[in-house]
Amino acid sequence: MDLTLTYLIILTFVSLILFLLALLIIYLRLIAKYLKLKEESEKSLKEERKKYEDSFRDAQKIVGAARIKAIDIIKNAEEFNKDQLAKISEVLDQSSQLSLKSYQEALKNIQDEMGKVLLSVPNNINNSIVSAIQSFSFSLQNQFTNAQKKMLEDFTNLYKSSEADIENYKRERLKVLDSLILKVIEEVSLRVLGKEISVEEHEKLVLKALEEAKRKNALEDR
Amino acid sequence: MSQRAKNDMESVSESVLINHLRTQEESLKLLDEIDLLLNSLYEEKGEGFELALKSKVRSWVTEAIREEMSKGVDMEEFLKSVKNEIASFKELKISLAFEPTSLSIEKIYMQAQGIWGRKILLNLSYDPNLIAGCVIIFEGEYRDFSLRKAFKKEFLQKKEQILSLFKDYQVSDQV
Amino acid sequence: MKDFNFYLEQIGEIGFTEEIVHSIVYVSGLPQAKPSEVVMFESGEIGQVLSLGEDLVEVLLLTRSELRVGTKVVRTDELLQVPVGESLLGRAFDPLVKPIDDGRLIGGLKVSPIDTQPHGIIGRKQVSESLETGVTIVDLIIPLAKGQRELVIGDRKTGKTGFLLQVMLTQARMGTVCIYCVIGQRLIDIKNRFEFMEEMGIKKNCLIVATSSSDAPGLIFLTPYSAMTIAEFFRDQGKDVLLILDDMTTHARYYREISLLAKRFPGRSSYPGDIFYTQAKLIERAGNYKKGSITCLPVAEAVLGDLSGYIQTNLMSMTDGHIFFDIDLYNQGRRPAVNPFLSVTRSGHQVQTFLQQDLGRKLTSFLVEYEKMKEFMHFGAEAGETVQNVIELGRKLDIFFNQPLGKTIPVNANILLAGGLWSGVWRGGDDEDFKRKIEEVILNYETNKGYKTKVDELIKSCNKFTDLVNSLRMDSEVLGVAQKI
Repeated sequence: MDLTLTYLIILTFVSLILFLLALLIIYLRLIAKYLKLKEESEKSLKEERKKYEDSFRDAQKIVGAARIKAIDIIKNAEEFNKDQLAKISEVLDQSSQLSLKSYQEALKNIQDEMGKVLLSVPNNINNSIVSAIQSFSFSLQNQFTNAQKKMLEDFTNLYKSSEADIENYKRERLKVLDSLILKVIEEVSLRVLGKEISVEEHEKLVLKALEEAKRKNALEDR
Repeated sequence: MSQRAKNDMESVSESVLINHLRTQEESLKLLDEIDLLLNSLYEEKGEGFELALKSKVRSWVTEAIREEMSKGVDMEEFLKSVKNEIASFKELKISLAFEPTSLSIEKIYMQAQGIWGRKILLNLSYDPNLIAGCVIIFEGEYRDFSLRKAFKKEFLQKKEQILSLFKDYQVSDQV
Repeated sequence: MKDFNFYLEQIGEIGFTEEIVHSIVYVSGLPQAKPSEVVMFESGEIGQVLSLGEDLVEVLLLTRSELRVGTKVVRTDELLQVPVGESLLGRAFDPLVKPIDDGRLIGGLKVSPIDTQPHGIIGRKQVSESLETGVTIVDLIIPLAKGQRELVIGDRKTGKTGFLLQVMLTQARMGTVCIYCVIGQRLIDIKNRFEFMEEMGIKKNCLIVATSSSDAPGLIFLTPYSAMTIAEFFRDQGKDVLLILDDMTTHARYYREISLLAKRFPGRSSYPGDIFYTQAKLIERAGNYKKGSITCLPVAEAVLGDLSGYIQTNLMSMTDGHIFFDIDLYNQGRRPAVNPFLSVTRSGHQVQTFLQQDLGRKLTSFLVEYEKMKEFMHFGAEAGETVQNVIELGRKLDIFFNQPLGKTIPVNANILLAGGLWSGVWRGGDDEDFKRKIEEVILNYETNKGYKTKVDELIKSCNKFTDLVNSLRMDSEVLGVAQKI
C-alpha cells in the first residue's frame, strides 16, 4: 500500500514539473512577442514624430518665403506711401498671423490626432498582450485546479483504502487483544476460584472424586 | 512357602514401618534409611548398626526397628523384606488443586486404601489450574475429576458475554 | 492429527517417559497400547510403538527432539497413516508428507495406513506389458515389465542413479506416475533429483519422498513404506506407477541401528532377525494388479562387486531379477556399466514380442562369443576373418550400447539399429561415422512421424530377428533415409 502511494505521489510531482516547464516556455514566448511589439510601436512613433517635424519645418519654410516675397513686392511698389505701406504691412502681418494661427491650429490638430493614434497603438498592443496573458493565466489556473482536483481525488481514494487497511489491522489487533484479555481473565478466575474454596471443601471434593472413581470402576487394579 | 516365611511376610506387612507409609516421598526416604542401615550392619565391628540407629535415622524408624529386634527377627532379612514389600506397592498419582495438610493426606490415603487395598502409595502433586477436585492416575489410567474441564467449557461458551461485561466495567470505571 | 489433550480426554490413558536411548523411548503406563500404534508426547512429538514389555512400552521416535524423562505420553488409538492424493505430484516431502521443497502446505489429501498387508493372489494378474527404460542394453537384453520388482545392484559410483533417472524420464514422458524414494541420503542429492525433474519437465508426473541422513532414524526407516503407500494410492486410481527405492541397504542399516538400540539380539552382520521380513513385506506390495501396476526398482549397494552380501542376497531373493552394475566395466568407460551376464530378469521376457525375444537371445549368445574372442585375442593369436568380423561387430555393439546420461532411446529405434548392425550395413566404417549414423536414426525416429510409423510397421511385420535383418539387407533405405538429414 505504501509503495503504491509513493509511486502515485512521484508520478503527480513529475507531471506537475513537466506542466510547469511547458508553462514557462509559453510565457517566455509571450514575453518575446511583447518585446517585439513594443519595439515596433516605438519605431512607428519615431517615424510619425519625424514626419511631424519635417512637415513643421516645411510649413515654416513656406511662411518665411511668402513673407520675404511680400516685402519685396512692397519694396518694389514705391508709389504707396508709408501709411499704406504700413497698413498693407499691418494687414499682411494680420493675415500672416491669422494664417500662422490657423496653420498652428491645424498643426496642433494634426499633432493631437497623431498623439491619439500613437497612444492607441501601444494600447492595442497592450490589450492584446494583456488578453493573451489573461487567457494564459486563466488556462493555467484551470489546469492547476484540475491537477489539484485529481490529486485530491487520488489522495482521497488512497486514504480510503488505507483507512480500510487500518480498520482491518485494528480489527485483527483488537481480536488478539480480546483473546489476551480472555486469557488473563481465565487465569485470574482460575486462581481466584481456587483460593475461594476452603481446604475442607477441597478435601470433600477429592474424597468425592475417589468415591466416584470407585463407583464407576474407572481405575481398576489390573 | 514355609510357615516361618509366611509368618515373616505377615510380620513385615503389618510392621509399623510399612503402616507408617502414606506417600511415595515417604517410601523413598524410608528406603534410603533402610539402605543406610543395611550398609551399616557389618561396619564398625558390628557396632555400626547401633550407631546408625541412634543418630542417622528418624526416631520413629528407630523405635519400630527396636520393636522388631525385640521379637528376635534377623535384621538383614527383615530390612530386605521391607524393601521388597515397598517395591511391590503401587503408585496412585493424585494432582490436587490445594496444598494438603497431613490430616488431609491421611483422609485421602484412608479413602484410597479402602478402594485399592493397602498396597498403595500416594504421589501427590499440586496443580492450581484444576480449581477444585483432582486428577487421578493409576496404572496408566487417567481420570479427570477436576472442575477445570467444566470451567473451561463454560468459559468458552460464555466468552463473548464475559468480554462485554469486562468492557462495560472498564467504561463505567472510567466514567 | 488432534492435540495431546484431545487424546488424553478421549482415551483416558497416560504414560510417562522413563528412559530415552537415542531414538527409542521407554514409557511406563499406557496399559492398552498396541504394536505399531501412534503415540503422542506432551511436547507434540510423534512416536510409534515398537514393542510391549512387561512394565514398559518401547516407542520409536519419529522426530528429532529434546525429550525429557517424565514427559507425558498419550496413545492415539490409531496406526500410522500417510496423507495421499493427486496434489502430491510435482512435490518433494518427507514420509509424513511435510513439504521439503518450497514449503507450501499440500492440501486436498486423504489418509491411508502406512503398513498394510500385501494383496493376496486375488486382485493380482500376470505381467503383460513391457516397461520401456530408454536404456538400450536393458531394453534389448534385460527387459523389464510393468509390475516387476527388479533390483538395481552395484558398487557405489557405478551409475545406478543415472540409470534410474533415465528410466524415470522415459516412463514419466509416457504418463507413468514416478515416485523416487530417497532413503537417508545427503540433502544435496535430494535437491539434485528434484532439479532433474524440473529441468526435464516431468514434474507433473513425478514426486519425491525423501529423508536425509540427519533425520530421525525412525523417520528414515518409514520412508519406503510411505512411498509404497502413495504408490498404492495411484495404483488404485488405475495408473501405472514406477517406484524407485534408493537405497535398501541404507534402509537395512538404519533398521539395524534401531534394533540394536532396542536391544534386539543381533543376527548375521548384527542385523536383526526380522530384517528379511521387514523388507520383503514392503517389496511384496509392488506388482501387477487388475487396477494398475507398481513396478519397483529397489537399489542395493554392493561392496567391490560382492553379490553375496546378506542384504544383497535377501533383496535378490525378494525381487524378480537384478541389474548388476559392474565396477570393472565402469572403470573401462562403459556407460551404463551394466553387466549383461550377471544380470537377470525373471518376468521381462514373457512380455516381449517374438522379435524382441529372438533379438535378446541372439545378442546374449553373441556377447558370450565376443567375450571368448576377446580372451582369445589376448594371446596375440592371428585372427581369421570370422574372428575379425566378430570382434568388429562386438566393438560396434559396445558403441551402440554406450549411452550418455540423460539420453533415452525408444525401444523400436534400438531394435532397428540392432537389425542394421546385424545386417552389416555399417560394416567397415569408422566409429565416429557409426555414432553419427546412430544419432541420425534416433533423431529421425523421434522427430519424423512418417519415419517412425514406417519403422514401427516394419518391426511389427517381422516375427523373427532374421526377418528384420533380411529386410534391412534388401532395403537399407530405412537406415539410409536418416543420412539425408
